Amino acid sequence: MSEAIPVLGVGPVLLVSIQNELTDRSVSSLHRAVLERIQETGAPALLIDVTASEVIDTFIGRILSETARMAQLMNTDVVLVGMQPEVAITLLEMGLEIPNVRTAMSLEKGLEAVGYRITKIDDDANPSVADITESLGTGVGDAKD
Amino acid sequence: MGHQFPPPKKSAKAGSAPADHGPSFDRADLFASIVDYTADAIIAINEACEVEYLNRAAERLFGYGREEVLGHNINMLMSKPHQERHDDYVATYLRTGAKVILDTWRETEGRKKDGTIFPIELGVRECWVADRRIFTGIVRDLTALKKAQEEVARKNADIRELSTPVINVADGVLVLPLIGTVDSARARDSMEMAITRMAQDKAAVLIVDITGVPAFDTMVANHIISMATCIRLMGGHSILTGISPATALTIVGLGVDLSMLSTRATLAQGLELAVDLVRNGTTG
Repeated sequence: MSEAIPVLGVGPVLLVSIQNELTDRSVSSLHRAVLERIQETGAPALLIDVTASEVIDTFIGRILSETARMAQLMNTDVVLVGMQPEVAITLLEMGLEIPNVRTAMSLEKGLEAVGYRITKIDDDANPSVADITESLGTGVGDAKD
Repeated sequence: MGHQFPPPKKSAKAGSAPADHGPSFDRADLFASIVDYTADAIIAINEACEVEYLNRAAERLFGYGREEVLGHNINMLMSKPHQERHDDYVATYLRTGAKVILDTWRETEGRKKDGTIFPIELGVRECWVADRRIFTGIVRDLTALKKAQEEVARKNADIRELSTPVINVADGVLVLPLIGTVDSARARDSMEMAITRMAQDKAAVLIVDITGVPAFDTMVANHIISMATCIRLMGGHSILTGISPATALTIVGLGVDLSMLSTRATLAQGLELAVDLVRNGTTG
């Protein structure tokens, strides 16, 4: 049963979307899949999207946290995206605060956080495709002040 | 209350007849009348669980006439799980002598003639009448009490909600003003409400204003830190405002680490920061 979590490329940015019903096996293959893709592509940023996760247990929480740290070691910016309040409370209660990873409320905000912005291409060129362009000079970085 | 009861009537059943109110009633008649007209519902059954007696309050409470119940199994007045099991309860007691409900008061449910299930308080005692074992039950209607309790619970919930309002003050900015003494339950409620609202409103910034909190202690601090941690995990940002000199002294004195959230002296300054964060999209 191969149910590896897909690692998508959105422009230069890598995107991993964690769906609700994960087996421990598919989660443990996450490390390798992500790191290999980072090595292949030299992606500057990785977004881990947990919008669809209603339950995150200690195991998944730990894998996410580890994957983020490993990616950071390979000089890739990591943003955790779209965590639901119930999940946040659970992680807090388990003491899994994932302290060194940046967070964003939505995929769009996550892209902005790593310096990209979704813009619509001119209607003449191609009306149906949205493009990712690098947005420079928008306050990238941790919101902490 | 006596005027609410129907006037005494001669019962059709000889022997259990209430007092004649003639000049020559004896003490048995007196006691029979007292029980019959007592305000609490009283029901007596034999070892076979057949109803031997029920007083007027019991008739009224369950909505049955006396003749509809006498001689029938008492379980007709019971709600579901007990209805089927009651015979076994009694059989078990007769076999083992182990008292489960006897000599106690307990809350359970009764079943009226129209099928209504209603909460009751039931006290069962055992007595012997001419070598026959009789169980007597006193039944009190708890419907009004339960309703009142629910009402109080609902009011309390309302009060809690009112005491922890979450206000949307600007696009993407929520304010949680904490006012008065914050106990553990209130702190938890407000935290849950605030982060749920943040997700609902897709708000990026929560300002927690503690201007109105007279005593800032470690408990309050810990709740605020927990809340800020959750909000950070969700990708939002929290700002603590309303920090008076006394509070600042306390925070440092207690060794509380608030470095994970931004702090401002006043709500106005916090709002400025919040709007700035939302506008520049640097939340995160």
